[in-house]
Amino acid sequence: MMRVGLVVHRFPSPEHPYILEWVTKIWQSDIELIVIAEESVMNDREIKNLRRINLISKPELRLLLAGFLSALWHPLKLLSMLNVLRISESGKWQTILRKAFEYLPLLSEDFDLIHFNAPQIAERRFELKNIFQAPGLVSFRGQDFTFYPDRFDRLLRDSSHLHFISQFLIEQALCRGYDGSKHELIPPMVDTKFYFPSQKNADTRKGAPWVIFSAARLEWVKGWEFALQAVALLIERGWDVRYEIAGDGDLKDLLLFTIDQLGIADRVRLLGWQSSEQVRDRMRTADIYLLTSVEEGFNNSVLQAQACGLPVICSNEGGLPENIADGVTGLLAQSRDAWDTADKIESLLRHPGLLIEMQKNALQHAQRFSIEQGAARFVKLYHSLEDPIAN
Amino acid sequence: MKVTVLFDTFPALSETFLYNTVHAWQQAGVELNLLSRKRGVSIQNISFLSDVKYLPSESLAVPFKILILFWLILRLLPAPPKISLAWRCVRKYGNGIREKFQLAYRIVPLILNQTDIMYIPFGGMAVKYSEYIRETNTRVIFSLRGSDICVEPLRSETYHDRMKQALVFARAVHCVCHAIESKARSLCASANLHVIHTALGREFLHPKDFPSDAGEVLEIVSVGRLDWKRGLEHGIVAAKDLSLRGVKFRWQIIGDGNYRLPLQWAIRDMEMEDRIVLSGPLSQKDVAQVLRRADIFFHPSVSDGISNAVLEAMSLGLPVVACDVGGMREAIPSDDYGILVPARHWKKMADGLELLAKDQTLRKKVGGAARTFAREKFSTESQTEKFMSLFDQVVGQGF
Repeated sequence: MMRVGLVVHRFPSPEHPYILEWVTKIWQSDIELIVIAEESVMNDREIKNLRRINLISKPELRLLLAGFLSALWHPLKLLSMLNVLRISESGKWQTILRKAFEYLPLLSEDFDLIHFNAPQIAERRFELKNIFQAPGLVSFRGQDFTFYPDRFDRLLRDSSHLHFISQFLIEQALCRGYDGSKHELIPPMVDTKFYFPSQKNADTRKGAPWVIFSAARLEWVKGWEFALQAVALLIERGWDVRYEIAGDGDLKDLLLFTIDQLGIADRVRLLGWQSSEQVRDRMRTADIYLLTSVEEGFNNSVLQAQACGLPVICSNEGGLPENIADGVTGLLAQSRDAWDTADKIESLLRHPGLLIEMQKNALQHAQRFSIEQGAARFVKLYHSLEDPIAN
Repeated sequence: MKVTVLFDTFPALSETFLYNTVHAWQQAGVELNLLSRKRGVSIQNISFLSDVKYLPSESLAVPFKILILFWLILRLLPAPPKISLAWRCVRKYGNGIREKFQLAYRIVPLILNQTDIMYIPFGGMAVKYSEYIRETNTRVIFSLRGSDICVEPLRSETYHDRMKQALVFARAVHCVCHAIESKARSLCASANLHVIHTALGREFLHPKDFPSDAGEVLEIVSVGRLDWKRGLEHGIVAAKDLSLRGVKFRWQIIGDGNYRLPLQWAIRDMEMEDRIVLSGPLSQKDVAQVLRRADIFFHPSVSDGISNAVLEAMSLGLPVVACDVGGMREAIPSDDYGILVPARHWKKMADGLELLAKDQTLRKKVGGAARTFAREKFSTESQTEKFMSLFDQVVGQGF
């Protein structure tokens, strides 16, 4: 059985909630997946029940003992680990000792592949692939790679294989001199057993205002000013719209100020942080999903909205053009352009028939990103990397 | 007349304008008692304000704080009315012993430093001391400068209420422009509000200053803290549009702040790296140097009181393209003195920039008018005069 070590910062990741589902799916395959996490948001009991998770910042006593025993049993393994750390940390003894202690519980394990779930964690833990003499697979998911592309040159060069969530990121990598010879494009996934539409009654919306919905952190990358301005333009043009925003973040004052300045306080509701259930329920009742990000690797919420049968208007930025099917499941608007965004929303409001058509299409489109399919593609990718590469 | 001025951090690079104001008071015969909550990094020669007393730090460990408070109370003893004042504050406000202690620790140093007038230069700080302003019945004057009244009250209910308190009980409130005044008026109708426009610093008042003629490439400049209020992202969209219209320009953005990454990304994302430069913070003197070489000043702000940066650029004879927010209309009352466009409206920003870019005579005309207007209306003399009459009025009211 192939053994894969999945190195993540936090498990399960709050940014990628589907990952727990996905890992469960992998466990059902013929891959033995061991999660190596720096932190966990689960409590100890939940972790224990899952069994195959190693928290390296807080090692389990049993594993620590096993590690010690295996270190005694295979002193060469311990020495080779220390040697790898000595080279990778170039003599910083404190770091070497800390990492040696963190990795000790893993020493009794063997891995055929080390999969780093994001470039940042690969940066911090890249030595793991040398310690276990296994090929390293690195996933690129956006933001950090977009903003600091030069930071990850080493990973692009030295990884055995790369995984990107969008063509946009592959192009960014090619710009950094990556030769394009060792990657796989697997987009993010959506849990279609959780995100699916409710039975909408077509008659219920008679005379009711149009509801536009967004769910994202209140951060600058989401381009909130452009969304709010687009909504203000729609109101100015006489449309009866309501705009609901789920999410919290550092930039709340910008939103409050912009809403106040544009004079749309009675049409916009800031809902604050919402649970996945609440977000899903809003997606089920809203008419249009809006996202005017200025940077996006791919974006999960847009995928979730489509899975709930919600047409999407989003900016033509980053991986978003690969996420929705333009003109089929939603419309792409010019990035940082409130006028174009308002025009696109208006073109849907003018044609309710098109809106209903898009609802159906969105639902179908989202099926292509199901966890089952995503997991199957990863299993295939893992197997293709199974044979240790020579040298 | 003795005026206590309460700074937050002294010295601070971005508050040079304030030191100029206070210095002018001193020259007009006001005796100054300068206090500051925190110690800043020394940045330049401001010797005329060298006698700043620092208030006891709020980040000290509790035992030290108790000792300091004990010492402060000992110093209060010779003046029984002051003791009763402090006692009244502490008895009335703060829930629980911890809050009451914090309050006493904050307020007693101010009571010890009571003079004819206490001046607090920022609304946000006045909010911190709202109990003091309310209870002590001293003559407190504080300034409203922009986000302290336009943004912060939206963010927190507590801030909103405390600002209201401060507005009601301060003897006078100084607003940097009429737009701020009306904003404050909508929060508290009974406040004693006075508009006194900001004055220009001496760096920007050389008699012969006129911008140099445009070289082949048009030089656009912006100065300000890099945060979302400056609206620079919208400016970058406008700049992209301007370059698509075939105008050759170079835009230098001076300043630093937490919005650097978003701007860097916008510049790279819109492929404007060869046109737009983020050059970091510069001293007043260097800013003046850059402005002297520039052709257009661009200020795409979404929130502002009355921007010092715009006034400075105007005083050097630069034509300005700015957004019509806050008190900007008071700096640019008509098209003769600069171009105002709606906030976030990149198309109109680009229109304004293009108009000036293509017409050197217009730039000269607008810049010249702006120069005369700014130097007349925003002079230190008239600012000081107005402050003095405000002080007289407040002192005349008695306690």
